[in-house]
Amino acid sequence: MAIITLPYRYLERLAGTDRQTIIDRVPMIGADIERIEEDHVDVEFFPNRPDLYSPEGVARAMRGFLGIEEGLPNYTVRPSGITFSVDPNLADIRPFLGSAVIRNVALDEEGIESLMALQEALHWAVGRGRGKVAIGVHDLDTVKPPFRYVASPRNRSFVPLDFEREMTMEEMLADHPKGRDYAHLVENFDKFPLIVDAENRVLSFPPIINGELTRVTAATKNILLDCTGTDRKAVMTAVNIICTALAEAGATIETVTVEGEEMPTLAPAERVVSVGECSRLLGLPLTAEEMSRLLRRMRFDAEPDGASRVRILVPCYRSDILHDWDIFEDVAIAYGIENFDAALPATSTVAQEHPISAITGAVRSVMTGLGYLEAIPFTLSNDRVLYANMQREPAPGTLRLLHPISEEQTVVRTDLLPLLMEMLQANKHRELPQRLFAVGDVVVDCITSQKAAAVSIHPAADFSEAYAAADVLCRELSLPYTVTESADPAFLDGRRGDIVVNGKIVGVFGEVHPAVLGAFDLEHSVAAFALDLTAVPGYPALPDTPSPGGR
Amino acid sequence: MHPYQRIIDEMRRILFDMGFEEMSGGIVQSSFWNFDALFQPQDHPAREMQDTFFLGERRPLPAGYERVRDMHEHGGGTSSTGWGGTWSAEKAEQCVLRTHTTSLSIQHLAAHPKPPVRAFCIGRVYRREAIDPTHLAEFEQLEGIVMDEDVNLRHLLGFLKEFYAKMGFEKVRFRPGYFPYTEPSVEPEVYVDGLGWVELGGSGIFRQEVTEPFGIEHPVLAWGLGISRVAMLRLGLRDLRQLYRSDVEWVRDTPTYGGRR
Repeated sequence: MAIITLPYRYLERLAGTDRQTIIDRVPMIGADIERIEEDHVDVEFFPNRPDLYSPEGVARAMRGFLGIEEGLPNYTVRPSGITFSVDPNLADIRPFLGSAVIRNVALDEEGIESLMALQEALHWAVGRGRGKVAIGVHDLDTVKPPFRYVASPRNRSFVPLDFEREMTMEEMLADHPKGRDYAHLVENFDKFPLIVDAENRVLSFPPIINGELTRVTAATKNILLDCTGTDRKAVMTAVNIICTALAEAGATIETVTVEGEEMPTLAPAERVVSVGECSRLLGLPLTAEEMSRLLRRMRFDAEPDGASRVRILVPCYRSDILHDWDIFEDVAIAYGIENFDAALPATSTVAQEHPISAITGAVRSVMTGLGYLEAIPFTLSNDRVLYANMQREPAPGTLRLLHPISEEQTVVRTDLLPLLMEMLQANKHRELPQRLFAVGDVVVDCITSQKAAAVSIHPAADFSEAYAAADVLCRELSLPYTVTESADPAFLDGRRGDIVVNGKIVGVFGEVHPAVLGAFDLEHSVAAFALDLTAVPGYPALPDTPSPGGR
Repeated sequence: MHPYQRIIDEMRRILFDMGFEEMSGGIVQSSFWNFDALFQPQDHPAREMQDTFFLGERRPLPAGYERVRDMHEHGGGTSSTGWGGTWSAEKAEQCVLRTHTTSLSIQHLAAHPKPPVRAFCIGRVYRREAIDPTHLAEFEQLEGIVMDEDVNLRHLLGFLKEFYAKMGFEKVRFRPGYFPYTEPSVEPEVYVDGLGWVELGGSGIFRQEVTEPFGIEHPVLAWGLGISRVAMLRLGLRDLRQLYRSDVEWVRDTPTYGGRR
């Protein structure tokens, strides 16, 4: 989650409006207000809008949305003359570098905190935990260009941020808190990414930690930005968002020449979209003029291109614009989602219950008619409950979670009866008799099907009670069955029967074995049954998997 | 009947009244159907093992999977740029416990690409969350989809208003939202006495990157909500676990008919 702190005074100055207007209106551009405090508000913005992860970015969007300043924000870039080389040996390690020089920054403590917060939010949303992109900001005046981004031996040492002594990069992975957090991103490489200046002093060990040398402080006037990563587009997104945010705060942006390419350009992208397609998707009869006007409020440049199209310039920081419909959503937001008239289409369709629901619904009405209460147990369970306590062998085809979150939930249930036994255990202190049933999904060999099960606990619960209940359910489900002696170890020998349909065992009933009662800490006898509902007439065959473009 | 099942059945009846067909499907899905077919990028955080239950099993990709691959890599034949990078078939084959019932919606649409479609599903979904009173690793999700010629954002809001009103939430309002597979996206909020405006579910129109590979030519309106949240509001529960590890006294004592809300 990207929760951004917006200090009122700074935001009001940048946005040109009062805090209450912003608090009232910001949810309508797509945000959740988390906390309203004395001097700031914390707002959660969506993961597709990293350009809103700073007070500067929010102010820019709000100025447009509130009609204070519309159209494309203009960012000019001048060349800095600084060059940056990229070592070809980084090709398989961390190949891409984006950079820029940001001059005349005036950062107070709050400004530094806000820049760090933007960096962290971008690491999460764009950088995917620093793997795809990692960002470093440096005090440019502490080092000397040109800069080099190299693949360095792992034993190179320097003083990392927040430390006073030199360490080797390998030591940092073990001993620096950031090193431990992000070691997994580099530890398998023979060489490590490193950024050095003309005098071979270290600026950064991306994506792990910067050097103490270039620490940004309130005294910093000029910043060198480095964004390194494994995806060129994401690297440039991070560069564009940071540069334009700082430009909004009054800084000037200068380019850096990376392997001959001058960057950043901060240039918008052009897109031509259809007015009719937008009108149809939103259900709004828009003209090209109206659509252009709405888009300018979302900080696009937009002009009608004839009556049926709009020519748009998309700001460089809007990395979420992939498709024309992303533009149409902004039209809807500018129009105001709250201003749409809700309507229902005239088409009529016919409702249809799923055949499996028809069967499970029948089970519910039969079992409640018999006086059983319904339970809705979890589908995740464990070997102890499902098998060991039941004196059963684990069912072949039992699905196991690769990374369970607790010992209680490690496998997907293959049967419901053990979960009802567990439910009886949890309700041991309640009055008897207790009669419970459950109906629902089980999974064997990745295939989901449905079972039903029931338990009855009281001193006189016996084989004939289980038989009678199972018989009623089978008859009510039109299931033509026979009964044979069962060998299920969960039940007492001689007081257990298998439900057989077409020569196949599809269920079991009887008096639960005393050892199983003991395993669930129960003191009275239990009559129980379980039934595989795939045996019920009308149970649907597995549908074929559909395929893309198959028709 | 269990109080929770009664709420589920009430929702089913409302959707039947609104002309919806019921869907059902497997708990185990390949990442292809759970994520890729919904244009969820392969490096999306939801696809990491800390959020999703992955299984050792793999499932072969359906014929024609290349259309989905192309959409991810460069936007296929649409106005989209796609996500870029190289799409991995291996990653798409890995099975998960479904994280949403949207994996069933897209398969239903792929099997029925011609309009009109009005379908819903109520099923269990899985998130790799530590269990506490307000978080569970599994819970029920309701999802509705409408595909038709000329359906639009106003109709999405219309279906939501109608559905929530029938559920007893007379006052509904809408804000912009974000979901990876819809554009535009809308967050509905309902007014609950004593609580104020409560966010309830999510909605939107399926992105063209989702529908185009399956030959779906008309907009698909979609909405979903975690119905255990509705049950909590309705039944006044403080602990979600009560729905699944029920006290029999509570099941016995909760009236079958709670009156019209």
